[in-house]
Amino acid sequence: MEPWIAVGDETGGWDIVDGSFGNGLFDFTGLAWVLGSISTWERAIQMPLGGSTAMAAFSRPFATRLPEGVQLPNNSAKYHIKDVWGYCRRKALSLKVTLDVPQEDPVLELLRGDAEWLLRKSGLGVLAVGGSAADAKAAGLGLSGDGLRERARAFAGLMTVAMPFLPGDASLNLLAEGRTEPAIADAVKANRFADRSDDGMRYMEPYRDFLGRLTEDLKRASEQCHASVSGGSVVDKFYCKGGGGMVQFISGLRGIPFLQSHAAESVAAMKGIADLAATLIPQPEGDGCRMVVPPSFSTNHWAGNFRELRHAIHG
Amino acid sequence: MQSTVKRKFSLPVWADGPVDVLPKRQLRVSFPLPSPLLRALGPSEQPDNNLWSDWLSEWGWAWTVSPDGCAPAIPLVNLWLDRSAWPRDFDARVLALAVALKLRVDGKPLSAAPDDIAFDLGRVWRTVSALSQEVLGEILALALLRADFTIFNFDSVAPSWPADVGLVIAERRNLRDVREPVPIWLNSGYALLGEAFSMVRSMGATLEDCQEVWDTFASERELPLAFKMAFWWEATYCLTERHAYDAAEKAQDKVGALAQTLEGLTGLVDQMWHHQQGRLYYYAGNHELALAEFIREYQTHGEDLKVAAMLNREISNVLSDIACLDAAKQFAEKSVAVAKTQGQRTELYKSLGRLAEIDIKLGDLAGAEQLLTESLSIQEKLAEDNRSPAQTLTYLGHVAILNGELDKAAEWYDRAGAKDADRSSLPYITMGRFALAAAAGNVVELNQLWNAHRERIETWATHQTQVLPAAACMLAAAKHIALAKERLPGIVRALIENRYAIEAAYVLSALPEDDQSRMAGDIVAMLNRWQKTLGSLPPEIREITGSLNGPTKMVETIRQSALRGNAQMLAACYPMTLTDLDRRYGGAVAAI
Repeated sequence: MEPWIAVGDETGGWDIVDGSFGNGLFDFTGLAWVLGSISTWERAIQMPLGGSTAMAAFSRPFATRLPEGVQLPNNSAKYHIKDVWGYCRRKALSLKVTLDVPQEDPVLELLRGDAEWLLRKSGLGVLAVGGSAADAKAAGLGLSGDGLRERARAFAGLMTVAMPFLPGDASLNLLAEGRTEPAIADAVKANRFADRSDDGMRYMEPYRDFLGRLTEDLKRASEQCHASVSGGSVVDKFYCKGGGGMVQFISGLRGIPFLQSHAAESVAAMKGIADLAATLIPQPEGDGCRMVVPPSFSTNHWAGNFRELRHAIHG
Repeated sequence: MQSTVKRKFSLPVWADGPVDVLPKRQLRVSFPLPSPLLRALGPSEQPDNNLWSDWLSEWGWAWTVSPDGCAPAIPLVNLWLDRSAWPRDFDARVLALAVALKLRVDGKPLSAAPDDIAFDLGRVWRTVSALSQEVLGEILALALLRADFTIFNFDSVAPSWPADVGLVIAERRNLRDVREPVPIWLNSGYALLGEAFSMVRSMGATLEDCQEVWDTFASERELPLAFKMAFWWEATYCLTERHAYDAAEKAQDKVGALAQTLEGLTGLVDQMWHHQQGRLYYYAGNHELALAEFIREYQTHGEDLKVAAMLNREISNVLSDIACLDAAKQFAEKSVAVAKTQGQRTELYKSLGRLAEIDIKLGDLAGAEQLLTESLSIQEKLAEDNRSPAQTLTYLGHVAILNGELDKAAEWYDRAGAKDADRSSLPYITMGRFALAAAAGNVVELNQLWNAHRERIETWATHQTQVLPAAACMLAAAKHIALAKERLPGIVRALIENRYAIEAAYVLSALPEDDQSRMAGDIVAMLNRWQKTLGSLPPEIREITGSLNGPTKMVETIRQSALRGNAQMLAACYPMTLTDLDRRYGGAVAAI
């Protein structure tokens, strides 16, 4: 059975400060998985997108594909939708990009095209979930006081949506990376900077083994799934990796010559695709920029609110 | 709206993955199966217009649960199943009731246990949706007749119904309190148990009598097939009790046809509805098929204390007839024990009688006499049972003969004759009198008996059970009456044809050599068939019985022509041993 790859990314404030969920900037937290078998990924990455390929588009900064004369205020070193939102804010553009409505602004149209490709053409599946701090709390998130721990639980809870449908004898290889958190986050203070006040900096999550947590939570989800529905095996082989680990994994695979020979660039593209996917979550209207996926726009997109996952998020 | 017992069942449900990249898959989803599912409809209560609700209300029933109460209880399932894609009229209560009613889908019954349902929800629902009101009514009526607690809340309407069904059908006693509850089938059910069963028990001497009872009963009401089946089931029993086997066969044909129709609809048709077929096989001497029916019933109802005494006795009857006396005794003792514990006096006197006969065959005459005396004492106290104790009185006479107490035997036979109002015990009393005369060496009496009963004996010889006393009469008469001696080969042939292999073996040595060898071959073949049947008994039965080799032992004895020298084997040939000419006349039967 060919392996499957799922690439995850999150959006919004996952920090827990003084017991409160959210980063205080905006009240929305979400995450997404993009998943497919390795052959699906092999096909998707090579697909044309704009004047290039999906791999090229998503493995490089968004700014590299802009029409002549158009610039973004911030240019990340990778495909990062945050750069587009900065552009929107600066130009006071519509903060709602509806995917079935062509955008007049060339940057937003480029973004819309990327999202349309992902949801309608790539063949990859997108699972996305999000909500306010209240939604997260209602789903049981935030109880540990550790943003890393809660993110792992949420990622596993979201994968539970797909769990019974994944081939039971396949392995699921997941790319999900640690993130940064402020010095005043509860878990950071407990582990590292007990006496620090907010210095405006963000630090990589130390010591707490995000991938190990995620693997454990996925296994629990698999067991719960197996106990809830039988009539076939349920996937139970989970290999969580960071970017380097995924490059190494793909390099060693057979039957996917393109991915294998472009492993590093492909993994960078996967991360870019996941970054895009994490914006495809239903969000309430507010100050933040958002994309809107109309109903029936794609059959490869599942998006929900944290509350829908309350039974899937394990304690 | 309350339900007390929670069971569950699972079945596959096709589910689309949340995204196209994940393939559609069958998930085995667990549904709660609350019980009971139905209660009596309240006086001014209206049905909720969902599927089956109106129909149920027409019969006086309403749901005890809401649809949500029967929906999958694991919340995660809702994450994976798009409930909006389920059939528009889907009602989880209806699914639960269909499972509880063991509705057949593509010929196989839905079942909550042990392996759960193989058909997917879509297939099951298509069958459920296509079910007619008439068919649902037939299945519900059958469920009512088995007093199914998982389906009906009887407390809401007729709390005594389950006990009443057990009393009248399983224990075959008469109903004293005939209720008239509102639910239509329950109302008719009480009429069936209270009126129709009582009438057929008192009047059902012939098939025509039974038909008349049914026609009268059914003309006043519309009745479901299950009730008709139950009536003819009881009629079959009544007819066999009166030795009207041909009529009983015809009654059983009706039961079989009705059971087959119902079995086509549901898996709820209990093995007990095939019980009379087992008894008819038994009376026809078809021990293999009789044992198979009884064992099937034992496997499903062996622990049901209402029928355990009867069922253990039926099995004992067969085992006793095929020379597995130790095993037969175990089942008979169990029957007696259950009947005593349950206070089932009718079952008790019958089972004591069976145990006594086994004791006779095992050579324990004192034990047999004690058991028969106990059985007689119970029968004399039983005012409600119409059956006369003539048969037991006759058996006491047989024990007296075997004990050499000839005067005492004569007294028992006189008492039996006086009690045998319907003359159903006449063949057996006559057999005793022939044996008595032979034992006393009273040739005059033998001749008188022969002249008085010769024609009857010839008639009995053509009957599937009365052939046995007929043969004993002829054997007793054969030394002194030439015609009786001439008839011996014919009556042994009749014994073999009616599968009395053990009894026929007893008479073999009294036959001309040609007949002897030919009939011995037939007897051995029959015994070998029985032994083969015993070899295929299920393990749980073999655990009770231990090794079962009675037929093989008899075959060896016949092959060695050693029956006369084997007291144990000889005793097993009762009642032919009543005419034990070796012992009485000090000479060989072969000398006749």
